[in-house]
Amino acid sequence: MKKLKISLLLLLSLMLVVVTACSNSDKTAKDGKKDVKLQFFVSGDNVEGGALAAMAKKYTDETGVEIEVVDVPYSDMATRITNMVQAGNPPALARTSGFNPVWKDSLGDLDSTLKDKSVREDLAIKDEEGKVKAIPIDLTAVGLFINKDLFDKAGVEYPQTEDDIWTWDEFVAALETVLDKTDARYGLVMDQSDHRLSTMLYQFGSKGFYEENGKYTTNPETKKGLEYFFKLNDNKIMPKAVWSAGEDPSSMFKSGQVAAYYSGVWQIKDFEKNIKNFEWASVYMPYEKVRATNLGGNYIVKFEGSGVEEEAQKFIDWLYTKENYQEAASLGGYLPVVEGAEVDYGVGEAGTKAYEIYQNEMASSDPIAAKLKAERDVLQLTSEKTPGSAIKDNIVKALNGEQSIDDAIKNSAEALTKAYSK
Amino acid sequence: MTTRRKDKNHKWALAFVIVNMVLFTLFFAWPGVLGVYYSFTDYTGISANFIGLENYVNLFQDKSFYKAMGRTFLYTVLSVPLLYVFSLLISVLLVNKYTKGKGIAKIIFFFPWLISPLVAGVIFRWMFGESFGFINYALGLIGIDPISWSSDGNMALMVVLFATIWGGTAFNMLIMMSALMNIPKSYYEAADIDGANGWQKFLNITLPSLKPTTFMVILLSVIHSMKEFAMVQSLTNGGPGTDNTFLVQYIYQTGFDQRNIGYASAVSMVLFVILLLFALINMKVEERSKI
Repeated sequence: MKKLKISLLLLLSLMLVVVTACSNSDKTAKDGKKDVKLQFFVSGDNVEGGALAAMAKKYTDETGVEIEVVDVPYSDMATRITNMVQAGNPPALARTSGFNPVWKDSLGDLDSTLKDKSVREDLAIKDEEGKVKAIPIDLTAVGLFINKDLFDKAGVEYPQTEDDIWTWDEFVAALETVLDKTDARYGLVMDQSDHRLSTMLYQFGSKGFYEENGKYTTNPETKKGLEYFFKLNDNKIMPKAVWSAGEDPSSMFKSGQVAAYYSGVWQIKDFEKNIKNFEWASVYMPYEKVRATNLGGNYIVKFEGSGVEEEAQKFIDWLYTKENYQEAASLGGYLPVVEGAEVDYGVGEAGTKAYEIYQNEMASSDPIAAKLKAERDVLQLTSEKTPGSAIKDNIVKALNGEQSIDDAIKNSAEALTKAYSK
Repeated sequence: MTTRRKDKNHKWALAFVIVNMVLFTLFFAWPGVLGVYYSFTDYTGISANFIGLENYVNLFQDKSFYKAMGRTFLYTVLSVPLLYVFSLLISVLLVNKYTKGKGIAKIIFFFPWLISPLVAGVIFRWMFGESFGFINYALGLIGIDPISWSSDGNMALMVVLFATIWGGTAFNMLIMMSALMNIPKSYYEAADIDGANGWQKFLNITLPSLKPTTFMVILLSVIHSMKEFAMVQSLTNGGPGTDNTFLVQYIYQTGFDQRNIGYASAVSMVLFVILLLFALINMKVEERSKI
């Protein structure tokens, strides 16, 4: 009797452990049709991500299939999903901009959606066998915003059409005048990101970092661009704390005390809604050698092994149906990736003009941006190692006086070689 | 008969601790063993090849590692005494019979402990924001130039220290207050008869009586400081540059951002050895002081 009690206790405690360890995977257990629940991991702010949450809700209303939208920060997405995939418990779907090679075998083929819904094929990610592992949901581009009130007050002109685009020197001179004649604190802020800085470097003629004879390297224009960027980080034109210490440039611009903000199309919806104390405008970016923007965007992926693959595919097909896609794009302010989609952003005149400017920037950008983006996106999914944000980290170190620009370039190239060279 | 009873107790004892043992093995010992194994491989999260001591060899030639370690030590050396002094001061004040409003004061001093370190980081980041922070704004109002709280490495460390003391005092204070209240009143009465003043009583009665508590508080604070992560992550993110990157953050960056898990595991092992050594030294000193 005593023995029985003890063994019962042992059994109970073991069960407790097992239950705690596995509490996360109980969703596959109940498989009644009514109980189907899709987990949809989404990153993005309340506008971009919120658009998909709204679409998910609409889908639930129409079909009764429940979709649980899980909001995950961009920087955590890859790690979170990787852990879930390794635990054999992936979400049904995700909207993501980052990948991990661990996912490769768990990603479902989205070829049918790509073809049937005329999604832009050049932006899709395919594996070595040509299987479509991720399709784009939105396209983003880098661009420039100005505080129109400050520019007007200082009486400084800015390019209105593509014919009178400014050079970097002209742009910086304009910022200096604005700083002189108004009470603006800073001339320019730029997001602390590889992606934005590379855009500026492309404009200076940089070809980015590319592989040559098994090693990553770059052309001399990269250094020229970087030197220019360092010169701007003087606490007058640009506040040093943004790049060296990670202060938030977006809220600085929104405060109305910064003349210009080098960011991207994803800000428009947010600015439209949240900037009330001054007038802002999207303007053409300056150039030095060539005009360039940088592409970005998010992908939709579907996971095998979620237990609800079919339902996930149905939702994706529904989402990419033209009317629904147009609605999502208009809610989230996406540049469309479905052919023939016409998006009404509902953002008034300034907003509509802003979207037009981005379309023009993309059309006349140096092709290097699109080429490098496609390469890096595929590498994220196929290369076991990753350089992380090596370029940014090295620039930040150099800006903080920990190394020279030459070393920053050398170390960035080495990190890329180490991660990507076969 | 007695042996039987003893046996039965053994079984019960085992039954009661078995849950803990299983949990400990599963969630502490096993990951620990895995960590040691990974530190000898080039594990990236996908595949692992055994590479012997290569991670350790690289590690001991890695400037960033020494920098992170140096900075962590500096942070620990500065934060532990400050934490100790502040919590001692506050707890002495709070158990003093002349202090008024103890109840409210306790709540106020304890409040920061209830806030997640991540949130504390965000609060301090907002207060000490360089361009648009509250402190610089207030300084501006009284005509002082803004201070580079975040783009100057030493200033940033000061803000981190400030946040550490703000957030960490409460816990130590709690331990010390109970220790202070447990010092027999008769000691102080005897000292009063001998004509000792307040300072003398503090030095010769309070401090020596607090010795065991002091050891514990210092050991816990050192371990906590060496492992500081969440608050720094949200406050400075190791910046400016890598000036205030502490060891755990360095582990996080190499392990997750660069997916170099083998290397990160090796750094963890070094941190583990340092903490173990410190704990051993601390225990030895404590033992010796008891005799």
